[in-house]
Amino acid sequence: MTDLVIEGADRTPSIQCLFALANIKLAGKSYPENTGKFYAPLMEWINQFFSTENTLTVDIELIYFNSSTSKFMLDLFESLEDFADDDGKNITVNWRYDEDNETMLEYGEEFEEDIEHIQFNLISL
Amino acid sequence: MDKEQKIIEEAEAILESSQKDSSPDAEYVGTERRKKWLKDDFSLRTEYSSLLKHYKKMSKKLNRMVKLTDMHQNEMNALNQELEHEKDHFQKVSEQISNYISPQIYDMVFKGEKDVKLENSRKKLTIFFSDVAGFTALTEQLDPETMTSVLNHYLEEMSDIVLKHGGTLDKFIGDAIMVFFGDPVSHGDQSDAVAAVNMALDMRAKMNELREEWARDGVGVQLQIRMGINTGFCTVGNFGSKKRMDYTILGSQVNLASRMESVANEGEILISEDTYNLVKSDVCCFPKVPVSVKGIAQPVQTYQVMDYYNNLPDVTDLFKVSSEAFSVTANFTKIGRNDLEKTHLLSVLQQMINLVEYRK
Repeated sequence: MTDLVIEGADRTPSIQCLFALANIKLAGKSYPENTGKFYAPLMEWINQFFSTENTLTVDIELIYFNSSTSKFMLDLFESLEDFADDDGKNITVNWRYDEDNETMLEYGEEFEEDIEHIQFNLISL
Repeated sequence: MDKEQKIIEEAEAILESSQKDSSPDAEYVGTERRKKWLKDDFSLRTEYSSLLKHYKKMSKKLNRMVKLTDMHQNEMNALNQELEHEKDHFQKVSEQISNYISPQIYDMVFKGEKDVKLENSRKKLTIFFSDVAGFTALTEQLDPETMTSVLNHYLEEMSDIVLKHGGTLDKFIGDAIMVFFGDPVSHGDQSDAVAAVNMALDMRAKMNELREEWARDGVGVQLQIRMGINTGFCTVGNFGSKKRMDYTILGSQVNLASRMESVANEGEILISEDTYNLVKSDVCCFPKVPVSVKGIAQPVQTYQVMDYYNNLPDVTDLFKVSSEAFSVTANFTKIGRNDLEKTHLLSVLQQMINLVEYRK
């Protein structure tokens, strides 16, 4: 399986999906013009990854994101929850935030509320 | 309890009661009909249960999304407030900065009309210099507070006149003022030159008012302005270092304008030949003695600006020009239509022309 690497831009975060490390890194700002289209390759990669693998760590370090990205995050976490709940996959999400960025901590806490089957860590930087 | 939660609970209750209702019934136990009924019922309940599960998820997600949207809204409001605060601060600072630079340069920088970098260009400009004759003597007579007040009052009034005529106020050097026309905005060489001369005339008129005002306030020194104007190609742009630059002009034509000012008499507006050629149809000027300027081999012809033609009601009646070397006066009310006097005058003028030519 190939890695997925998308360079960060003004409106979009950098995405690194590394198969060998079983790791996804998502960092930067996220307010794409078309959120669904932008994140579609990431969702596709995750589905392919879990067709053979069982453990995944997702590191998210966003400094700003819009409502559409919030919706995507909910979809992502729901999907990961399903993989963990239905297929017994071992998934860890590290929500990394700058210690001065209280808003990002609050968003992390909000996402954490609906998480039941995956490990969700709030990590202050 | 919100509506979604109520729907979910009602749906769960229906599912639960349908499970209870599907308990074995004696009449159908063991029959094929009973088996089919149970199979259909089970399939329906499974689908219903799956739908309910999805609905619960969707409802939960929707609620979470609403909350997240509120958070985004709060974040945007906070950012907006911060931006407003920054905008106010920026506005206050830029207003203060505007007191230190010419409005044209301010617009150029703050409206992003030009990049702030060390670059320059050659342009034809009309350059103006003024100086207050007797100001140095005044500084020794007046206490510092009065002197500051007089100087600031003078510069304030003159700045207003500069702005009124669209000049770019380059700098104040003590009581001296340097202004140029034609950059960043030019209305054409002629209009720029006429604007510069109009400004000088307004300044001279204002100085007469200020003198009276100061006299009433007990500052009895008779201050007069000396003004010099020249038109020519200059290098205009940002000069200095990346950290501290001046938007100004350089070149021999600037030096010539400064020289015009220094040789002008008190209350006099002295202009160069190039400026004269651009303004002569608008304002009445008299030729003056050529002046020698450092870097220019031949003496430079200068002209004294008198006033607008319209403001010279007696110019048609009385013509008067004088210098150190000559004096010409003609009373046109007496010449009028008198052909004899007219012939006489023309004859005298021709004699003068011949003499001047011969003396060459």
